[in-house]
Amino acid sequence: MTKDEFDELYRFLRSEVSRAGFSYIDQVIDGEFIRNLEGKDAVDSYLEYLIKMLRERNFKIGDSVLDELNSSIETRSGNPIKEIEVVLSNEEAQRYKVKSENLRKGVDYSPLISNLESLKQKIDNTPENTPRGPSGGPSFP
Amino acid sequence: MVALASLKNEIVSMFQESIHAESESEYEIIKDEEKGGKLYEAYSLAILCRNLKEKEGFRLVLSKGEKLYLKRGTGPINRNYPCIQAYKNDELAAEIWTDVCFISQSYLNTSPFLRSERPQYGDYHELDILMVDPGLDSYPKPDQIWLGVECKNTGMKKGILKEILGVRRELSFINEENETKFSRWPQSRARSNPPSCLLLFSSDSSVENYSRSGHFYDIKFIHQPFE
Repeated sequence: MTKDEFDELYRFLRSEVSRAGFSYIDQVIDGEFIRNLEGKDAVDSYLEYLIKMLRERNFKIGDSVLDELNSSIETRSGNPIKEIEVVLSNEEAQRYKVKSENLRKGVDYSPLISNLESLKQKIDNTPENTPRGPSGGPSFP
Repeated sequence: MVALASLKNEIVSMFQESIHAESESEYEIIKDEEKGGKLYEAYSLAILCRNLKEKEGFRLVLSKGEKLYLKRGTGPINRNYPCIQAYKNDELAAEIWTDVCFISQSYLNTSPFLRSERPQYGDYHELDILMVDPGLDSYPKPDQIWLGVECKNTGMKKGILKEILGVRRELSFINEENETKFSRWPQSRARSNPPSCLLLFSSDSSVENYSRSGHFYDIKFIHQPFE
């Protein structure tokens, strides 16, 4: 694929990520991690951070955090710590009629993560075959 | 050869499946963008506790129940919720609280005639994790603090350095070396008065680029990937 095609794919991927409700993640990746990358490098780096951020938000990561907590903290009952809860503000507690929310509640992104990993593998194996201009500048037409 | 059109089709179909899965889940008050930060806070707490247990020999016990609580808002110590008690030789030595504010040095060192009766606005600052003297029931004072931790699951930016330098300034003054409350980890001596320890956990490896200024002010920058 040419650099221009990779650039098009990068823009398309970002628009699809936003359309799927992950516009916050898209903005974070764009603002904090993609530092002036272009072509295949931009697609590759974007996918890498997208996968990382989805893993962090996947409810299943709560299980491994809980395991890590239980490896060093005991409870009075001798049972393991069962949940990680986030206490809401008083105003939120009144509005939602709950005092806290379980941090492990949420969406299982595992299938999407797996699909994105497979897409990243394909991108990794696809060369950017249009030569870039002098000093890594824009590609030749 | 992979064609652009086929990659686009693949992207469209994988996100369509994802939207379908999300609509079937329960309503969440805490959205994904905040959840990543809170999970990283819980993970950092777990890493901290592992180090305190293995390197300092503390026995760590959840004070009540079987749930760990983090907070969305901040405030003083609230004993309605459990903390993690740190025992040394069967004696309660310290307590670990999450999302608690401490009273600033600027408030404590301002004349009572010039400050408000109770701390407000900039008179206290929040840290994600605080290890303090046991039995406290309000905003901890700097000399009651053993250890403070700030957790950042974002790209490391200069603003975070400025933030943590400000927290250190409000936590203690620079001084001759004193003994901390710890024998080895995170450090046994500090050039701070009171000699508290201050750690910044970051999932971004570039946090280590800032370790030199942190070293001068007794701030430990720890790259802790979220695994």
